Amino acid sequence: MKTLRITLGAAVLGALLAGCGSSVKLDEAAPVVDARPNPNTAGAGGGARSGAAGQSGVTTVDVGANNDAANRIGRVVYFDFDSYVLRDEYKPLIESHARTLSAVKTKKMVI
Amino acid sequence: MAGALAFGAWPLAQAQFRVEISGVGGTQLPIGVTRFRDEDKSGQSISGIVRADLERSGVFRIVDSAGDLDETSRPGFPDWRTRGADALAAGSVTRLSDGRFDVRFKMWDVVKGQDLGGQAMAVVSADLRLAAHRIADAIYEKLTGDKGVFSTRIAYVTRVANRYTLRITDADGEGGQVALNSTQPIISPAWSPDGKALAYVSFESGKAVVWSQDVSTGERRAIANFRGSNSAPAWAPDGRSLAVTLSREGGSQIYLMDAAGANVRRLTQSSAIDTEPVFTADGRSIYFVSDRGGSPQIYRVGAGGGNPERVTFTGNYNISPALSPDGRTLAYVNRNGNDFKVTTMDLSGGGAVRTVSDTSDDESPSFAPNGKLIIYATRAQGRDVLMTTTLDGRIRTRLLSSGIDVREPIWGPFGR
Repeated sequence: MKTLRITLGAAVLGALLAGCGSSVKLDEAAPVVDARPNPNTAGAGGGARSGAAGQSGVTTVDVGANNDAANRIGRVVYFDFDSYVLRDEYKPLIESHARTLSAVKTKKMVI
Repeated sequence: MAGALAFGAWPLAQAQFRVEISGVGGTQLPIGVTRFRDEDKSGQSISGIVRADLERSGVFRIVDSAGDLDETSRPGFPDWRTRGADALAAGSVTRLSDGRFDVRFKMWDVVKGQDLGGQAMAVVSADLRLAAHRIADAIYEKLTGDKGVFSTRIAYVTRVANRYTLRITDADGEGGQVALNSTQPIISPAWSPDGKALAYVSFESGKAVVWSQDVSTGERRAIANFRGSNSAPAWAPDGRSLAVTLSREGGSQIYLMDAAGANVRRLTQSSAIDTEPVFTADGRSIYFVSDRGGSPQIYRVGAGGGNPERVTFTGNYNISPALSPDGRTLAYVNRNGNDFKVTTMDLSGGGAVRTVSDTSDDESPSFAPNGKLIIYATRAQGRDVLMTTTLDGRIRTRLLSSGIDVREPIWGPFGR
């Protein structure tokens, strides 16, 4: 939940700063924002940093998978539209999965 | 820096992308863009980014831009005429007390000796590249009359060994940030019309599931996770619904649903493979790929349903439709033997078909939001690369990656 609050706080701060990125005429001085820290994120270093991301900031999401052995071989085979012909580039991958399945008879494969 | 380079060096030493331009058109507009006062103190070469944007469009030629001007200067126009310039831009970057930067520029018509106006914008450090791109857009629009796309973004998928990333960069391929890191494939990214979210297909749970992710916060949700395969998300132009391909009733068919994934209703009614939906800009029709006629062709159906009409008749394999914002051009990939080539068709009458690429392993064409450029992925020298081309195929740029495979580019909308 702490992470969620920081994310929301940063988004609000980002929106405030982004809103102040508007153009002004050249003969005016740029308005200086009194950047009051958002109480939800004060002291949270991550929040302050992502709040300064303006309109360009992207938050990275990491997702992993459990099956490391299969991941190392690779699990995805692309086929041409409505074709079942196996392209040469995927033959080693299929052969390696076939060897795994032959070696461990109890292993199952879902396609 | 008295010996300032006449051309901006490509902005970042560690740039992953190199740009090559081929087929430059006949007349280019010569312009000078001097170093912005104090830009080196900001950490970004604002003028370098502006020069690179203008040059990469193929429409401008950068002249010797050495000089110390800013937006308050009175340029010596005869000197700039001698350098061959028709136009000139200069500016400054000033750090404000709240930590932001005040970026200002002015431009002049050198031939008439006239002030063409300028702009000032206050941005946080992370938006300095964006400020430079906005200046390049303003110069481009003032001098060509067309809306620029330098400040838009693109998203694409990279694969390095067995790690996949969904990556977002500026339209110049720089400023790259990662939206999603996965050990499983990511395919079919699609920008929401407001540019705040990306829909995509992820195999992280072991099957194809459609997700929607807020780009700046990273918040994401699975919006289509039905029995079977969920793929090919496409946003309606109002951002309130999507078309997707689902196999939950057996074959691959196109369904509509709202942006949260509810209210699912089937759109196509065939026993063929119907997929790759894309909305028209007015939201009234959907183009898609179907093999109901025996081979993959592109069809059009009303977004409210009805009988689809076939649209492509040239060649026996046409896939991956993309529509220009003005609705006049369809881009797609035509396969002829082993050659996959980006092709356009004139939708506004005549139906003229034209091949726009000079490579043979193309995929995934996507229009820039000003309708003047198409980005696509292809293979060159054994690597996947991203290319942009004008619709007539005359000006092409290659964003070369330094050894990583890149696929599925999708051009983001105006605004972020």
